[in-house]
Amino acid sequence: MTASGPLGEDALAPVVEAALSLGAADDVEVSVSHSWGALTRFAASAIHQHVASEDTTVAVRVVVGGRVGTSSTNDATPRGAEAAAGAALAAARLTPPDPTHAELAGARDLPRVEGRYDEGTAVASPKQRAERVAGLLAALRPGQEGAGAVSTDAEERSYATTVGARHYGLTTRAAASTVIMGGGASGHAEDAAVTLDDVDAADVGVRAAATCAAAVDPGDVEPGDYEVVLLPSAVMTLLEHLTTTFSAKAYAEGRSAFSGRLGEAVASPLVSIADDALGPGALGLPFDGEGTPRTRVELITGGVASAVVHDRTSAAAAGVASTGHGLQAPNPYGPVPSSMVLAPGPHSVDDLVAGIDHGLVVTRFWYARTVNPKKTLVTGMTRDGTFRIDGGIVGPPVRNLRWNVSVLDALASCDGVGSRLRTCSDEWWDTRVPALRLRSFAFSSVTDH
Amino acid sequence: MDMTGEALTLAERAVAVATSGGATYADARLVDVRAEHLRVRNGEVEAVRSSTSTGIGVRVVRGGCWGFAATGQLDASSVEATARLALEVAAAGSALQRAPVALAEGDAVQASWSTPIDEDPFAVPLEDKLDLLVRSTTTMLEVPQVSIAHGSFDAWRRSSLFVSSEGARIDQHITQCGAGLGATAVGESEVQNRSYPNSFGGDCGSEGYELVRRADLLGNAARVADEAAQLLVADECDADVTTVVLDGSQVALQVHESIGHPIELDRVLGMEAAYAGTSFLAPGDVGRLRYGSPLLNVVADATTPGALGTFGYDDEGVAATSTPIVTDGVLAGFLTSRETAAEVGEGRSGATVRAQSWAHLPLIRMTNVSLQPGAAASLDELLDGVDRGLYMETNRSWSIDDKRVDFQFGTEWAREIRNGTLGKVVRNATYAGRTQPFWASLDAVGGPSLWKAWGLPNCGKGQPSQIGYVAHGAAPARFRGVQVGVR
Repeated sequence: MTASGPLGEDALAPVVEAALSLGAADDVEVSVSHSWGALTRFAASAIHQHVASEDTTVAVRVVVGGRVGTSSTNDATPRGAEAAAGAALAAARLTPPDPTHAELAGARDLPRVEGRYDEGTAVASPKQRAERVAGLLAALRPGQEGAGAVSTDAEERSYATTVGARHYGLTTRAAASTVIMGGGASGHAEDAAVTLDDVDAADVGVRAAATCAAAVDPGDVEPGDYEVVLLPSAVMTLLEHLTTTFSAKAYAEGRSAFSGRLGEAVASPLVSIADDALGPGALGLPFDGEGTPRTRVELITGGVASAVVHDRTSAAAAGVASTGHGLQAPNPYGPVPSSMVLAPGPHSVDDLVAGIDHGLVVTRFWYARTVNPKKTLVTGMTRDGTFRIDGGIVGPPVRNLRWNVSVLDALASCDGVGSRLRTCSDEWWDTRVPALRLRSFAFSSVTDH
Repeated sequence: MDMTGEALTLAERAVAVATSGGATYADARLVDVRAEHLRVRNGEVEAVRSSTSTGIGVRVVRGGCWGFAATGQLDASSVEATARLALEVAAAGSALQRAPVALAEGDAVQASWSTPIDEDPFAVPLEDKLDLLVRSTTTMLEVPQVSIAHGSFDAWRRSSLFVSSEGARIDQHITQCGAGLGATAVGESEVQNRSYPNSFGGDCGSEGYELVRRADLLGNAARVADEAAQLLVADECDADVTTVVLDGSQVALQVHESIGHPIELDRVLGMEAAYAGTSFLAPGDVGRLRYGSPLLNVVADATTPGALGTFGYDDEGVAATSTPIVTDGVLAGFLTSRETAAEVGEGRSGATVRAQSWAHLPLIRMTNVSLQPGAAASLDELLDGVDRGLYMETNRSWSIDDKRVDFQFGTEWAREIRNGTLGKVVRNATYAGRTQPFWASLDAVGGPSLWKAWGLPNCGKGQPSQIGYVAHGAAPARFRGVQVGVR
């Protein structure tokens, strides 16, 4: 017996129609999401947590007289959808009118996107994931232990509104990540793709094991301002802390570092960042949580602040079209870039390292938190492999350091961009990023490991 | 949903299928969660959302391995299929098994438990709850420098039925709610926030709407907005090494990050290494490791009335209890599960295991991990011993390393302390340190009248990631020789 599979658009249609059939409402939006997935987790080189779950949720937004209410249920039957619609209507009737409410999505063609769903991944078995874990752990060197996870997830979503939107999409996502530990050191690697077969779990193990082996006996290091090569997982962390900067809501409210600065140079000319849920290597559906087709948005172009992402509310306020970055209603957070890509450059990691006389290579950042969003000031730690650079060559490992940097200032010091994009993820989104060389990165303290 | 009858039949059927399929242990949690979330911004309602979610999670031990599967389909066929999937999942793990899972003693308890509440938060009229947030945010906007005023209300009711192959049958209903305000003042190059009663969506507890009424949001709205405006023009916090007095809410977060997480025994044993990290603690440190000053006394108490981490029975069916964690500055215990307790030779679990939902695997979570009150009768008494220092209130940023040693926190509000008195307001205040030296610098703790349980509804852990609802009781406390104004 293996995992479940999609129910199909036709099977979800009665649920959708039951919600849309609500009387006494001006407009109705319904999103039916059937998701199923499993994760095989390991620690100390043994599978210790192995989980699988499946659920279908029905989320309804109702508009009546400018008043808005939402409700959701996982009773994914027509009766459940009717009840959710009724609850949303009842809430709307008790709520003051919302002057910021933007029109629900109408009929729009979706961009043509291929290859976002893989049947084999959707029905991958526990045994298949366990085999990938075994393949990953085969890379362990003597004295090493592995912790991590291999996961396979799938979603089908039907979205519709009473003003004409009708979308259906299927997606899968497979991922492997690991922290290999040994000799007081650790190394990290990860990979994610639409298809389980495209996730090279064995290579994830090889990379992490090699980093761990190189990181044994980390030495002393002094805090200070360093030239650094950030490997892709670390670059991902910097980008994820620009989501407020890239939000049209924050921009309009003056909270964004881009507020009043579109068209200005904010980073090195070598840095170009876009949000592109449709591009090669991206994962996910081609429409956002409000049923708006996703679009590519150039956020930083050659170091210049170019644009911000919109949802339907921020777009209506700004008199522009949504860029397809809305979350499912209700959404007090505003639009979110969830598929960022930093354009690759010409350099290998060795090239980047060769350009530094004295500096550090950072595998990954950890527990980064925004200290001052207007200044993109962020603090965090290094983790799982930090090494000296001496004379353009990767040298001995060092203990982990805490950093306090302005992300945009750090990107302004970029003078080298790696050529290879890797898909790096945190719990919310996937980014496609290369390695970067930065000429200034401030470390404020050193920990004991 | 009726948590008896049909629900009991389904849960028992899941366990029966699991045991007949070879499980040496099995449990089923059938959970129904009802939630309400309200958001108001600048006097306008931004979100009114209600939700319901019902499902069953089945956990098995088969061949010495854990397996877990969950479904939102509550019909007999789907539930039985889910139990069989849990068995298949466990079987797949056997190829990479270390030691067979062993469990500390469990209870075949038959029980019911409900959160004691005065006023059902779901029964309060929606228009009344919205009106409170609208009036509060409108009041905050009367301060010219405040351009964003937001208010929030959240409520959850989790009804669960726990059935185990050992004979446990537990019916539990947990009610939780919370509310809060926030004012944002935006300047040319600064954005400053001020929150009340706390910055994590306000204050939350396992209580009814009486928690919200007691918070007096409307009565504090003007002050919150005024403080945001003050921060916009305040001086920057200077870099220094000085005495710091933290308010109770910030002490609560300090406890969370630098005590609550490192004492999770699954972290100590390496089970969270791939995501949240490990711990600087080892099992043999109990009774030996000096965690901090003799004034540091910490207890994990899942019975604290009204606290967010309070329940009757954890998700392994073990009755809520109180566990000493640090006594007179020395490590005294860990947060344990049945599996981890057995691994370190303890006879019983500390009853800390909970899951975010029916769809998530239950994990060791903090309960109410609280710094016990000290002797200082007032904040003035804490300030009195300070010639020069910094008072810091309400968390703004937080970060700590993967072993829970090196940390840095920032607060929304800070005031200089000069000769025992609060002085000028400073902004962008941060402080940093290492866990054991920091707690060793603790030299005064506020007394019982200053102590409060602070709820944190956003503690992340596990893969797939899940949220835990935890709390920390704390009073203001004083620390010497702390690095502030981190650059």
